[in-house]
Order: sequence, then structure tokens, then C-alpha cells
Amino acid sequence: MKTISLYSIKGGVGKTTTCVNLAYLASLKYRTLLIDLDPQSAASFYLRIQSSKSYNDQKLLKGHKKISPHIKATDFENLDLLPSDISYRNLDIKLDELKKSDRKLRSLLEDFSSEYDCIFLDCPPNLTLLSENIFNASDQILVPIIPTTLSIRTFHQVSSFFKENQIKKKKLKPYFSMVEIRKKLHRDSIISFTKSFPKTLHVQIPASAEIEKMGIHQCPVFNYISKSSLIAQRYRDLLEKIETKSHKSF
Amino acid sequence: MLIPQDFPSFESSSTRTLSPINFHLAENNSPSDLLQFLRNKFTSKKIETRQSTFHRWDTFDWRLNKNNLLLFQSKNKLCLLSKEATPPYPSPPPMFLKSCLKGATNKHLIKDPNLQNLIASHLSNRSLLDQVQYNQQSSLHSIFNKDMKTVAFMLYHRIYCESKYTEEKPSLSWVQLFPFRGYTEALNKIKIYFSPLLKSELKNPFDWAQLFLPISLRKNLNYNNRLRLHLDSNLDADQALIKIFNQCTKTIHLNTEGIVADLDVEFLHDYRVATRRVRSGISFAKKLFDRDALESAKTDMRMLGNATNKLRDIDVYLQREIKIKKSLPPEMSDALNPFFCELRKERILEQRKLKNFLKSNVYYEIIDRWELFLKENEFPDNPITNKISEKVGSIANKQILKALSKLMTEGYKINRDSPDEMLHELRIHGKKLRYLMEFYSSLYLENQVESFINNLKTLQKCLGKFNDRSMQQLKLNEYIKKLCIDKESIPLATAMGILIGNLQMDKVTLKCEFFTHFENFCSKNNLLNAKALFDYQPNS
Repeated sequence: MKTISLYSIKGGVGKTTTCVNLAYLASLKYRTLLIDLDPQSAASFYLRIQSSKSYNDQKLLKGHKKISPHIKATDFENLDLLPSDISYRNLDIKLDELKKSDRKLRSLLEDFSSEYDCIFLDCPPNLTLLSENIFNASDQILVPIIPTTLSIRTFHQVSSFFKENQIKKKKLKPYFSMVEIRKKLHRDSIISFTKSFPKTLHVQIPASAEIEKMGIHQCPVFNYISKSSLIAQRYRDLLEKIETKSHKSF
Repeated sequence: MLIPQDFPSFESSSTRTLSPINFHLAENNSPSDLLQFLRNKFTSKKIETRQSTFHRWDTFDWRLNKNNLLLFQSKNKLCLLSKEATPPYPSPPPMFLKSCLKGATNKHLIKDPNLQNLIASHLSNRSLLDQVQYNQQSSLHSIFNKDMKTVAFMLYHRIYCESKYTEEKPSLSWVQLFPFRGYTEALNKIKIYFSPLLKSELKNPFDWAQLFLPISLRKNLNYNNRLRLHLDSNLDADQALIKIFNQCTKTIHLNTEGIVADLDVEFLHDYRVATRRVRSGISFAKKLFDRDALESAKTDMRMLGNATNKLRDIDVYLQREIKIKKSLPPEMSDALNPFFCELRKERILEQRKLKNFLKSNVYYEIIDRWELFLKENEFPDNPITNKISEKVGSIANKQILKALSKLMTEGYKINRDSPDEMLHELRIHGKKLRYLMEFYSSLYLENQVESFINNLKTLQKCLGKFNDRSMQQLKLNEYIKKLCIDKESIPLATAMGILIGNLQMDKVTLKCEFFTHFENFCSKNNLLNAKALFDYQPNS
């Protein structure tokens, strides 16, 4: 089982859209679980799923037995979702009360290894104890970067955090998101960042009204765009890069 | 289970849906009838529709069914389901074997040896028949909650059922609800909304397959050629016999179609048993009905028996083919093939002859005459004035005792040197006694009469086997006489010689067994039983 997280300190960089679309693509080949860790519940919204009234952050931390009844099948074969809940906003506090508080998520996810081939984590935009849990639990951490100064700056902040906390930096997989290639700033930023961080995934997800429409259609972008479109191709490329970086399939 | 597999989206590996719950719908309701019950809480959308046809194979007397097995055929695939298999909807089924039936009605044409052995162990010498054809129309519907999220699939099936034996085409509707993971609460609500139209929960394929059971040639699942009569001991003896005759006549009719269509040798066997029962009954009815009418009926029934004799002998022979071949040295078993080939050809001719007879005017006249006799005597316009007015309770004992005495007297005459004919004659006497026991069994205590009949059956079985061997020897001798002995026919002639020898040895063994069985039949216990039942006196 491989765990892939979509993470950035910055909001609005395309984490959730990428997470939903990649999870959908992965589900065509693998048994896939998407875990929505963001209390905004955007990934859950995209898949038309609401958490049960009885579900909350405490259930999440109690592990497989308590989590399993709250996992919901999406409308897509092989793709399940553990929806987010507003109580997740207190997750850091709850985690802090536990032993080995930075590795709790990892141990929780291990229990799903017989059920799923891959798990996608849609993460909230911050750098907290939950983020540390996500870093430790993930095999790869995809960081969407809009090719602009602020977005790149946040990546460097994460990178420094990894260094300071001795987290394996090679897990970090930045890629460019919401790219508007006609903008000179975007083009230049891509070139300079790639030079300074050669492990950047060479996939650029374009800024697109079609992706924004996921909020209207409430489904992965593949459900309403042409399979041969540029967007579809770029997401497929991104998944392929992740698979390649995993050295073997999930 | 065949049905969900017809929809590729319902493979067992699906992570979306959990095991379905299945419901039989009341009054053949349509999907829209059901879906309107969702009110405004849920919405639905039809995803696809599909038509399929599959067949259910079983023996005419539903032997697989009785052993909790269902054999389905869909195109060139066979699917054998076991009721005991867990989970009840096996996925994949316990055996899903790609074997071609090629439209054949013979179990030997099932190619897969595992399936063949499993089925054969339940079939004995019965043939597999395409009992029921199911024409299925299915539609798959998504059911959405208010967020337009699919919470369940509803698979609606309407099955029309056809059987070559009947004009009726019953149908039934059933639904399968496939809950999505995490939406069991929604499913419970849907179930409540649907409940006015849900008839019963179908827990496994047997539940719905059983709903179609009644449409077969032999309509009763528990078909048994035993007479099932309840006679009141105060009933007039003539009326009791009419009741018995009516039952036998029903059996004659029930089996005629199966003989004509040559579905299974059992139809002829049961037909013959019924006619023999009538003949036997006639012989006990001398003083109860008009003598001339009885004589005419006796002649007619004899004619029915004679018309079927040859075919039955061949059937018995062919049923023993495998055993007979196994009784020869292995290298010789194929040598008999020309003989059995000849028998099969002869069987075709005899079956055709019998079929023509059963469809002839002569036959219809016999049956009409017989049925007129029954009708006239059931509700006589002019009751016979000189007939004895005995009650069946008292006449039964007398007739049984007479037949029992005859059997014992003739049995004691037989010794190791007695000719075959004597054993054959004794078998006829035994049959008469057996039929009487069956006619009147309801007048006696069930346990006691069963035990007496079982002892008689054992004796009869031995005599029956002896008679079969005699007939087979006779047939072989006839065939050998016609055989032109040349180089090519030497293996056949040798095999037949060995076979005649084997049959002779069988007969010697059976004769020895006969004495044991006869001794048991005449044992103190059995006769005490007879005394208690029929007031048997050793000297009577």
C-alpha cells in the first residue's frame, strides 16, 4: 500500500482538485481510499459525500474499527472516501495528547493495507502536528506550486521544516499547478525553481475553468471533459510520475 | 449466481457495493411502481437494461433439486449451485464450468468429469432434461440521496418462465438492492419505502427457482409412483377399487406424454406399473363389477402391457450397459459395442412403434372404454343387482391372505433345480401381493405395513434381478443365433459367450440369495406381523 498526500501550507493552490482527480485515476487500476483531512471538506463535497453525524476526530484517532463504518463508497468503482468532519479543526490538540503524537496517522493507515492498494490524503493548508503526521505517514508528498513568488516561498518553508526535523526530504515532490504559460512570470518561475530543485516533477497542471467546474459538477474532471484533453493528459502524466517514483506499482 | 454476473459492474471485487438483499415483488410490479415509493427522499435513474435467457436442467423428478443442487445453463456455460454452499450467493459459484451441453438431454454429454461425477452421483439412471427456460429482462437503476450521491443500485428482474410441457408462462419480479458502502441507513429507509410492494426476502437462488417448480410435466415435486390413497374401511369394496383404478389411470395419463417424447425411461416404467396395478386390481374385482366389462378391460390392459414389453426389456438392458461391460475383462469391454449398438437401433424402432400405438385410434378407444367403465361404476345408473356388497376393510384382508398363501405355497415348491419359469411365476404372485398391499395400505398401521412391504420388496428385488438376467440371456442367445461368425465377429461372440456365462453365474448367486430372502419373508417375525395385520393363520 502506498500513501500519497497532497500538501501545501498555502491554500487555493489546487491540492484538492489534484487529489480527487489523481485518486480517481488511481482507482481505475488500484483499490483506492481518499481521506479528506481538511475540515473544509472540499474533497468530500466534490464527491457528493457528507460525513455521518456520529463521525468525528475522536473516531479517526481510535483506528480502523471505528473508522471503517464511516468510509463511504463513491460513485466510482474502487474509490472509497473517508469524509472530513468539522471536528478535524481540533485534530492537532487531540494528537498532542497522544504518545508518539507525530506518528499516529501512520499507524492508523497501516491497518488499511489489506483493503486498499493506495491511499490519497487531502491535507489542510497549514504546518502543524497533523502536518508532521502526514509527512511521516506518506510515501510521497505532492506539493502543488503556483509558479509565483509566494507559492514558491511556502515550498521553501516546508523544505526547511523537513531539514530541521530530519524528515526525509526526498518524499517531497513539488509540481506546478494552475500554470498560465502565457504569463512570463510563470515561465520564468518554473525555469528558476526547477534549477534550484531538480527533483521537481515535470508535469504542469494548467489553470483551467474546466477544473474549477468540478465544484459545479461535483465529480472528478474526467467525468465531463474529453479523455484526450490536455488536462486529462496532464493528470495521467502526474500519476505516471508518482508510479515511477514509487519504483514499482502501488 | 448467474444474474448479477450478467452485469459486468457487479463483480465480486466491487468496493462500491455490499452483498445484495433480494426481494420477491408482489403482483409483478414494474420498476416505476417501486420507485414512486421513494417519494421526495430519493431520486433514481435507469442506467441500463438487459435481456438474457438461461435454462434449468434437472431430471423429470427433480433429483438435483431434491439434493439441494441447481444446474443452470447460460449459453455454453454451466453453473451448478449448491444450497449448502456459503455464502448462499456464491461468487464465484462453487463450480462454474465451461462445458457444452449442445442441447443434449443426456448427462453423458456433459464433458467436464468433475461436474459429470458430481451430477451422476445424484442422477442414478435418470436423464437430465431442459426443465425450465427463464427469459429475463433486467434493468439497473441508481438511487440517489438529496446530494445526488448514489446510495444504492437497484437491479430489477422480471423473469418469464417457459416449459415445453405447458402453455402457461408464469412470470415473477424480484429486485436486488445493492447498498453502497457507508449507506446502510439509506438502504434501510429505501426498504421501508418499498415495503408495500415487497413480498418476501429471497435469501438464495433456490428461493426464486422454487417459485417456478410447479410447471413441469410431473407437476408435483414429490412425485412418487407409489399409490397415495386414503381408504375408509367402511367404503364399499367396488368404490374403493374405482378409487384405486382412477389413481392408476391418472398415472397412465401423466406418463404417456413422457413416453411419446422419450424423455426418460422412468415414464415407461411407471406407466407399466400403473397398467399392471389395474390388471391386478381387475383380477380381484370379479364379483364386484359386470363380468363382461371386466373381461374386456382385462384384455385391453394386457394389450397395453404387451405393447410396452419389448421396449422395457431393452431399456433395462441398456441401463446395465456400463455394469455389463465392466463385468468383462477390460480388453473385451468394447467388443460388445456392436451388440449394444444394435440394441439402441432396436430401441429406436420399438419406441417409434410404441409412440405410434399410443397415438393410435386403437389406444384411444381402449382408454375411452376404460374411462367409461370407471365413470359408469363410480356413479352407476343401474347398480348391479347381484354384486356382493362387502366393505373394503373386510375384503382387503381376504385378498391379501389369499395372495400371501399363494406366494408362500409356490415359494416353498422352489428348489435349486427348479426352472427359471417357476421363479418368474413366483415374482408375478409377489407382485400381486405387493399391489394389494399398496392398494390397501391406508387401512393398516403404517409402521407395520411398511415393514411387511419392505420384506416383500427385498424378495421381489431379488426375483426381479433374476428375471432380468434370464431375459438378457435370452436376448443374447437370439442375437448369437443371428450372428454370422467370421473373423471380425469373433471378439463379439467371445464377449457374448463370457457374458452369458456371467449372467448364468449371477443367476446362481441370485437363486441362492432368493432362498435367504424367502426364508426371511417366511420368518416368524414377519408372519407374526402378517397375523397382526391381516389375521394370518399359518394353515390358512
